[in-house]
Amino acid sequence: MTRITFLLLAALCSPSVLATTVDAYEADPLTLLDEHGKSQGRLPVKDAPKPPLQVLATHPNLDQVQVELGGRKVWLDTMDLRLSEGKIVTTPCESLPISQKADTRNASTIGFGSGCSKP
Amino acid sequence: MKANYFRFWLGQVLLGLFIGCIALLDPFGLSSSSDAASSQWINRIAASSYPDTGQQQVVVVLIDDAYLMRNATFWPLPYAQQSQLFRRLLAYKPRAVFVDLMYSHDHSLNDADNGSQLLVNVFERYREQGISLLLANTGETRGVDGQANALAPLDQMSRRALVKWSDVGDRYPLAVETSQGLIETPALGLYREFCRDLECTGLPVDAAQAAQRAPIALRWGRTLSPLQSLATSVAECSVAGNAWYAQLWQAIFWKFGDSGQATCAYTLTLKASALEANSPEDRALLRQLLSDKLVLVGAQITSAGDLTQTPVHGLLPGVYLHAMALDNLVTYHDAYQRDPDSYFWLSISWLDLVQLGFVIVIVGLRAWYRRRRHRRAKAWRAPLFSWAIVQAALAVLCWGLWQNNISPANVLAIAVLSVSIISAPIGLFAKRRWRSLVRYFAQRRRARISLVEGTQG
Repeated sequence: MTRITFLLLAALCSPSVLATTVDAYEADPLTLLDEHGKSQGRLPVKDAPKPPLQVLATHPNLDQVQVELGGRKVWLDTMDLRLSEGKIVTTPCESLPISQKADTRNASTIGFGSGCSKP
Repeated sequence: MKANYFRFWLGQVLLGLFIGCIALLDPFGLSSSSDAASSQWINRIAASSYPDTGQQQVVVVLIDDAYLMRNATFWPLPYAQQSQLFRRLLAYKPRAVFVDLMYSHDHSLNDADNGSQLLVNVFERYREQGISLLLANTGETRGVDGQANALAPLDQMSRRALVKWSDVGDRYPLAVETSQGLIETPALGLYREFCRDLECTGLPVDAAQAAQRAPIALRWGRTLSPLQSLATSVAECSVAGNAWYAQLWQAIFWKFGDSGQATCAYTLTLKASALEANSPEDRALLRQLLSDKLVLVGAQITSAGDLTQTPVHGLLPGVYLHAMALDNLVTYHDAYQRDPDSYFWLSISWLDLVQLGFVIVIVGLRAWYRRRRHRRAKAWRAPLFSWAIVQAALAVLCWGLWQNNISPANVLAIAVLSVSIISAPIGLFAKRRWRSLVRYFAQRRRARISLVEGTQG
């Protein structure tokens, strides 16, 4: 909880956050969230204030932004919004993985050390 | 003479019984091995002609090592990372999602920033938006005798999809009775979502009815979706050798080539990192690929061990098994390929009896031509003709089974056995040719000797 508060304070004090605005809504209805990403209900776009909206805070860990809707501070998923600022990520041109040969063997597992040597 | 005749036919009948017993009783797994080999090669040969009806509806989202490295994270993926992945997927409004990840141990207990509650919150949003979410379930009772299963909060937030079963070999069941009750498998669960607004013939009413149905004998496709190249690079996917004759060639001469095939999976696949894209063009593409689709989320992590053996692709991540079973259901509905029903407790089907009929005919023809050999030694055309008839009948049987979506017959074993019809005439033919060749060289030698003697004289 302390970590989240710290993050919020840091985000609020950041000039870049204060400059960021919500330029458009990409989903209808919008899902209203709390700071942990839990749904607090849904709001049709027609009932939401017209953008641009000032972003009050960001939560990078969950990709959420806080805005004020009708005098109430709520969190929105950035997937539902178009923001004025933010890194544009394009689809990486990665190779489609190929299957492994039928006789492939991998006799290991993740994260275990050597076996127990108890008598 | 009569005693000889009796002894000969008694020997042939005993031989027939012996081969019939091998076919039916399957000692040392001889029959089932050749059966599996037949099924595998028929699947490979037919894979290029598999219809793309299901391919248009099913998408796999794959979390792989590249995704972990790109995000500087690890496996098991932290809940915060998973919640990001699933909320991104949710934005594209898939029709239904199956998560092929087993949440059996909470690795971030009492951690508000990274705990499983973050994932529960996202899963709750799926439910709120009417998108069915199916979660991998072992069917076992969590905590009893050390058995593991999905965590209760996540289990309550989703529909159960059984990912662990036994007693059906390489077949894919629709529903299975477990200690948690009857649970449907992911393919049927997602197929129900596909049928939500459609008229699907023969859709089981409930899990109890589904459990009565025969499991799916999977057919695998090979040709990649035309959309695949929009989502990933397909440069490493081998498209050469897709044709049926190339597969047949490889089936026969596998010793001289690449026996264990490695190629790209048939189902349209998006890598998890693709969901991170946020440019308008990429989002439009992702919407085209994911919107209203049946999505399966799986993982291909080195040493994670979730791999399944397939007849066409070698080893693939387990999520593709569910994807292909779903594809079979969407393509064939209730008429999916299956094994024929067995008679009572014998576990012998009508197809076994037809195969036994082939064995009897082959052994009978072999005996008939062996007996006639003494009288009509030169008549090798008749056995060859009979052999051709047997091959044609076998081809017709295969075609009929394929058309009626019944799992293939043991073609290889019957084809190899049928060679015994022409073995004796071929042997005789070869022996005659050898003798005439020897005679020819002997005559030439004699002629040369007489020529030498004549010159000297």
